[in-house]
Amino acid sequence: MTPPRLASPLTSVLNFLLPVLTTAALLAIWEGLSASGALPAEIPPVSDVGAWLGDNAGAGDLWTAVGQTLGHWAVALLAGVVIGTAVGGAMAAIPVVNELLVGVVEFLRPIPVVVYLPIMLLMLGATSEVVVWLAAVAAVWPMLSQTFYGVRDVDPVSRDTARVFGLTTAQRLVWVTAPSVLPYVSTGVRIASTITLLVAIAMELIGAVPGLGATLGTYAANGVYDAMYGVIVLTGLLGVVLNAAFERIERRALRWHASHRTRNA
Amino acid sequence: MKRISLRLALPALLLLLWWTTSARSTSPFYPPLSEVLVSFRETWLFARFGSDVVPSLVRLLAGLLIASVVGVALGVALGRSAPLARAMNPAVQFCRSVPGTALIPVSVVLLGIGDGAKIGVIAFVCAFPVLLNTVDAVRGIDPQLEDVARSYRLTRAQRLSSVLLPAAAPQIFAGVRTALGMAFIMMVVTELYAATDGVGFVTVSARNSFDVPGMWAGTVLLGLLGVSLTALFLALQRRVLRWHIGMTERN
Amino acid sequence: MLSVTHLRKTYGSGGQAVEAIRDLTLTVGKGEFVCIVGPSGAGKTTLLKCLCGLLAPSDGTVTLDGEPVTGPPKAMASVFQDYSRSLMPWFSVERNVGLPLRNKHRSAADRAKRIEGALAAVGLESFGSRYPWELSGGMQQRVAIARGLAYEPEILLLDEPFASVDAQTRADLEDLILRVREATGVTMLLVTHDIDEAVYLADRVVVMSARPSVVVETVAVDLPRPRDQVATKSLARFAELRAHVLRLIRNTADQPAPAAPAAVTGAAHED
Repeated sequence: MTPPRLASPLTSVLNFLLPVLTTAALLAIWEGLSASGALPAEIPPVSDVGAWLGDNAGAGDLWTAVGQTLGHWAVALLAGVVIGTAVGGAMAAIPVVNELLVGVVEFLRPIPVVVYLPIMLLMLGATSEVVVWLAAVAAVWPMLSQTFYGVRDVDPVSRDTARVFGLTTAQRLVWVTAPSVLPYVSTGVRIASTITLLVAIAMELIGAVPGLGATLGTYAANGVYDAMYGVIVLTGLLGVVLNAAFERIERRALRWHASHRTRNA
Repeated sequence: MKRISLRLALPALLLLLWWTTSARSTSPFYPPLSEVLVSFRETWLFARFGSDVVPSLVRLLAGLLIASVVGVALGVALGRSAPLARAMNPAVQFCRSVPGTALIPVSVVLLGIGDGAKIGVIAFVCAFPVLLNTVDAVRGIDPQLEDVARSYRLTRAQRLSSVLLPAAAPQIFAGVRTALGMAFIMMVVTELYAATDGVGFVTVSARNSFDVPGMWAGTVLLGLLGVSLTALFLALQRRVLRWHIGMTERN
Repeated sequence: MLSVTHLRKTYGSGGQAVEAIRDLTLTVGKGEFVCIVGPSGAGKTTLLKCLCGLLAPSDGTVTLDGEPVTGPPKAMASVFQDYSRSLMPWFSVERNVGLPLRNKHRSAADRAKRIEGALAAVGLESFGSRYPWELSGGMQQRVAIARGLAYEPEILLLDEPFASVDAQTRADLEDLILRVREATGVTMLLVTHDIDEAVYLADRVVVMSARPSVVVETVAVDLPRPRDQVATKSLARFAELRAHVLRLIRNTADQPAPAAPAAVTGAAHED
């Protein structure tokens, strides 16, 4: 959601102030409703949540939890991206592989990984490995289908051109296939990142595996509400930062891509 | 024929592998597939169907439906009004970035462990993919179609129902498809976290009572539900977007 | 009667303002067929949008039968240039034609009759249940014309309606428009950049200058009716008129409008 830009200085001031003031107003309404007792006690004033975050900004425990969650997220995403891209690419490029795998993939893909959680917890216990494995499976699916469509979408004309000019297979892969698959892959990574974080936190929460999810669960169970909201704000900020980072990467990868060119025109 | 046999080869092989390895398994966590199937039949066909499968599906579909209606309505509003979109941008970006599962404890604290909390948190989380796709779709509508609608004096309601929504429908459906996947995750996790009924609840209680085949049976059922819901959704989409599929195939 | 007096339209404001139309006055009488031609870049589409109430003029007035046009009038229907973007791909041909009728005719039977009549008038009576994208470009534009006719307007505005079809289809559609006009007596205002088309179709050809546009001359076309693609275009008078209009356009294309001081150039975009 990137609103279109307008030119004149007055409108650019307004464009800057409008979201800031609206957000401030929304927070003020929360504060007011909570202070006046219109909201239930389970929703503390936003100032309390802010104060908790301020108090704990230096706390090692909180940052350890953030680090654990980010660790789960990063390893799972990396594994998911590698596996998903490899399998998706192989399925798109080699018909036999596709025929062989398509049945399993089409069956397994719609199954959300949290389904496997109870069994995995039972078999392997509440460990970081379980979180990473399941989150990685969640990341595989968007990577697999994005790569698949990306490879299938390589312009046949450029492929033929490359062949006519006698490029080797390796050269074709680097100069023709990779650039046209890249936009798809970067979109896949952005989607996979969101899902991986979602799944990682869910599993930390359910399995009480150390990380933001477990921290959140503990605060919720003990009724420490300002802390509970503080952790949610933190996960939200984490999501915003990761989203923004991947959108940036995606924009770079897509800069030359037709669909993006027209949208920016 | 050869194609079909190739497609079925791996699934068949995997099933066979599951059957044989589990038959010889000595691990208490990896019961024979035959036992899992017996447990599946005893639990889900159809002893606990009405008491647990139906509540799960009702919560999922109710949440998804609310998310779709709210997401489309807000998406149209934000897509039509640039100042409104700008004003709400930070709030929307933040809310959609909160990993939905993190909100489940909040929903329980605020609304308890009943249907309301579950439907509410599913709806909240699933509204964002629908909303963002609708905003994009509404912004991308061909201005000439709007000129046509205005010059033939269509009313606002007609413009919405005959021009805006059909034009945005392909992207809205893509958003709902994403939302469906999230709704399923949210449904399962809400039931694993705290519940008194539902497929996830039965599965997790089986674990607590060391009924391992029961757990496996619950997992199989959840998998089958995930597959069938996606298939149903795709069938619905093919029907509603027949014009779009036909048009894309033609070009 | 449609009458336009001293119409002016500028886009933007301050230093970035673009003057699309400087001063345009013209009238279209009841039952008349008027074509507006101008070099590419003249504010033709802008003019049409002002006429059909989609754009408010910066200055001057547009009136239809004495009533000022402030929004799309009931008695006016439009056919747009790009048929693929003016029909709703999610509706069948019938529903496309019938969509604007909902506010005019309450009864479904009434609407069905009008849809049928309009489709018959453009020779598509057996295509009502098809989707627009299943039809060829020429047929799609006929659907758009049928939609205009079913609306039963007093005046039909056509914005370069045949610009995106091949030459043979174009000739067929021109004749279709002439037949429709014979049959219904509806007033026609057609904008085109094709001089042959303008002279072939019109009772009067209004020649517009390049941006910022003014009316250069209004040429009365005294060719006999009914017109015929071969016979009419072989007349010496057709060649004379055609040459005259072409000369007017070539003279105005390169230079700014007569009364213009240093013209505002560098228009942001072609509309």
